[in-house]
Amino acid sequence: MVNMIILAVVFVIGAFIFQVTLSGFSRKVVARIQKRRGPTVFQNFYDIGKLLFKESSISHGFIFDFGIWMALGSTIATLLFMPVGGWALMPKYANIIVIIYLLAVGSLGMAMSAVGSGNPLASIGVSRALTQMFAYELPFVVIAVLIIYLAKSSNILKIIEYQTQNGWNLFSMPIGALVAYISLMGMLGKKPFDTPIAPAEIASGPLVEYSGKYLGFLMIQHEFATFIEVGLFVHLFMGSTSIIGFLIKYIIVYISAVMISSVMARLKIDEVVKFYWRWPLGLAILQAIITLGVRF
Amino acid sequence: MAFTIGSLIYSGSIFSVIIYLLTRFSVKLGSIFTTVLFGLYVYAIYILKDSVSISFIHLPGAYNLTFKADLFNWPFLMIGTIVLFVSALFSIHGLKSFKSAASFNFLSVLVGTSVLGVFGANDLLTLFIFWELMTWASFFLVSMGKKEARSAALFFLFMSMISAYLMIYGMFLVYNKVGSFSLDVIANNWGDLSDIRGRLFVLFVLAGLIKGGVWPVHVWLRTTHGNAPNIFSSVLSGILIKFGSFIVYLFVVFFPAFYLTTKGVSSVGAEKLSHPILAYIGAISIMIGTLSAIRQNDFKKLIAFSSVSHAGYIVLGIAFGTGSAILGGLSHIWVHALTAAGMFLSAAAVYYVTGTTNMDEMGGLVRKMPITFTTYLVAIISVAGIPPLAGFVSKWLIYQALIAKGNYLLTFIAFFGSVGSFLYVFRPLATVFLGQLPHKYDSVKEVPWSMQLSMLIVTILTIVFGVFPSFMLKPIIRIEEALSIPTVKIEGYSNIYTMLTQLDMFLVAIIFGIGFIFVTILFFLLAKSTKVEQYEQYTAGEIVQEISTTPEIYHYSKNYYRSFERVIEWAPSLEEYYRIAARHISRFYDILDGIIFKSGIPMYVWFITITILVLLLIRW
Repeated sequence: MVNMIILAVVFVIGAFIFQVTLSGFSRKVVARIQKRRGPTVFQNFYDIGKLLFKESSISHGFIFDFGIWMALGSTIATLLFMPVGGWALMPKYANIIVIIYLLAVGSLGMAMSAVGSGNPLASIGVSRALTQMFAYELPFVVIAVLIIYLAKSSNILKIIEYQTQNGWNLFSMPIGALVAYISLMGMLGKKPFDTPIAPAEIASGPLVEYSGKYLGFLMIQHEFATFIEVGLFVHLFMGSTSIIGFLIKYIIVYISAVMISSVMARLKIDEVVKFYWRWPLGLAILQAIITLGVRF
Repeated sequence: MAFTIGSLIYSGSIFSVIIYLLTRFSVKLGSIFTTVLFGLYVYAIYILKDSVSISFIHLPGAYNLTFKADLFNWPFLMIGTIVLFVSALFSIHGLKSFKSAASFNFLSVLVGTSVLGVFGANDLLTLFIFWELMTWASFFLVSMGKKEARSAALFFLFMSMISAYLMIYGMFLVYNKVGSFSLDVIANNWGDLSDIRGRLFVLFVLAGLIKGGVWPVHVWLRTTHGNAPNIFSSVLSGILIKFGSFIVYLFVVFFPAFYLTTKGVSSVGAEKLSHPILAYIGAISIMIGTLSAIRQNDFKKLIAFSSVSHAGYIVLGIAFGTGSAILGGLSHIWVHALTAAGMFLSAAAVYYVTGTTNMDEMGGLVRKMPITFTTYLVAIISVAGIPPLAGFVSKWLIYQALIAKGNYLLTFIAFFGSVGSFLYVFRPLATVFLGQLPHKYDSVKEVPWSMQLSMLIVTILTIVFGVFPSFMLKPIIRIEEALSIPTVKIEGYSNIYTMLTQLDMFLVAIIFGIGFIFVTILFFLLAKSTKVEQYEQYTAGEIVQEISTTPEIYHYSKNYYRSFERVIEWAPSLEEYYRIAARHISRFYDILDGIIFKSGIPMYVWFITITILVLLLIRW
């Protein structure tokens, strides 16, 4: 039990340091693409530290606070179910459906807190974020279902095991991997799918009223959510039991998403829905038909 | 003391009159009596848990009403009485300023007895009698609602009539064949009914779908829920539309599986029980319900369409036929009964203090009504199928079954309904409870204690059934074992094993709790924040005077998902087609009317003569 707790703490802190460093690095990558020097790799640590220990911050009431606890709390909880390579804190319960849904609690908490601030810009952002979620989840789910069916288990460790025997899903279902990658861009809110945030248009949407420790908490939540989402993609399509291998693949997937997003322009929200439901969803069903045939 | 369904119904019918008179005398007293009666029902059904109880009500003629409570209908009876109890508790204060409170309580008790009668019936005729009792009682209850309630009630009655006629026809088909209405006899002879089984199946399942509010016969739900009295909506959606699911369960699962079990088949698999067409009807219902709910502006109509979607999950689960799917479908009846009650009761509480269910007119009510908000929040987390609440368990079981068969199309639709439900359930949360509180609601208060208590009970049950799903699943697993359907294994209170994986809801809840508490402690360790008023907003540097004077213009609520609606606008509406069809039919009759009646008596006489001549010619 004590062992478990120590492992959990080490895991959470490790994931935090890894992902925050990586997102600092990604800022550097974006800067180089734009021919700037960019901030130091540790800039995100400074940002989070500064925000958390700021002496003044604004609260808009209980729901505003409660939503933040719910968002970060459940994202950390989700992280604890997440395997890394072949290792997981609770190997029997690394269930992909639980992870996807538990992650939604975080989004719900954040949405509740943002709308609880009473700012209409936040409300608009949340309405867009939910719409976008509806758009990207569906193609992703079709592909996830295929993989679960092939691996005969919704446990991520079993899915990894299946891939070590049969080769990466990336090669056996390339269309599916492409679809999931586009969905991943939507999950991460990277351009062209950063409509819910849209800084120049709706003043960062849901984040508009946050300051000080609130914003710090949400930044941490965002980093953890990123870790889970990218990690999920790596496990589903490039599964192997090595932890170092996992981290390397993770870096490749994440940085490539950042690079693609830095040369894209933002879509309107109805364009996002139309795009996801036309191309990725169509391709996902095509992949399903190729893999399993027509089934009713 | 041994209760039977029969004695409970007896007491119900006697008390209905007493409660009517008491309510005439004092509304509160009458409602308290109703609550006590329904509380007794809950207790009585609970102690019937492990027994088989058969009872009769003797009628003057040759026929007796027969009832039975055993493991096959216990889950339905239990959840039915719980919802009845909760909404009666809610009505203690909720009926204040209600014009016809006495009739409301009288009819509520009748609805209560009809719930026992339908779920506890041991023969089809008893089932039909109480089914009709429910229809008529609800007809009068619905017509007590808002302005347009009369026409809504008529529409409800019309749809119920269709379902009743289908049932009558089916009943007499069975009677001609086996000579009895008894459910046991039908179940035992199910194999010999092969020549009429197809017809029977269509008749009864269609009747069930109409009552259950499943596409394509869901159209009555919108108007009925939109106009029915708010308290009654929770019973209507929580229990009465589950009558439909019950009929579907009887004909899709119970009769075939029971027959095969008595014939000594050791494992009744999906190949015997699955009905793909029915499963797809459920799936379409999920999609239509979800997309329509996203477009509603009225709190209660939104919940009505969410009921359509969830009725779809129930039918999908039951009709898919594997052990895990049936378990998911039947447990979804529990889940949805509770969450529908929670959502409709919170809508009723909001109506109680604001006098409206139009979401565009409200906002920021969480500051005034924290308990109502909590009820709604817990209910929607369960509706959206998010762990660690009950809704996740039932949906998860359905997903497991669908994925295990590799049916990606149905899985896709099941997820579609689930992710789509995030959209529609969040809208009332954002527009009614959160955001800017208009000044006209500055003085409103939280609802009285009885309403709070009843909402709390629903909330606690939803959480308990989520964290310890065995309370909900064990009784249903018992049914499946008795029907020799291979089912999922459950260990302890919370550990569920299916073919694909295992799930421990208690563990999920604990981990979730640890994360939450850790963050909360960290939050309070850091510097304290300053609390500001609702009108202190970031407005991009502009000075907006109206924020403090008319906050509602600074509240984003109208057309919340307009951009999404734009994407699905082109989709045809079934209701529109029904309306067009109705118009054409009525025009056809107008023409007929014009030919026969308007052209005067000679024409009329002529037609009669012709008709008689034709009849004579064919010697009828």
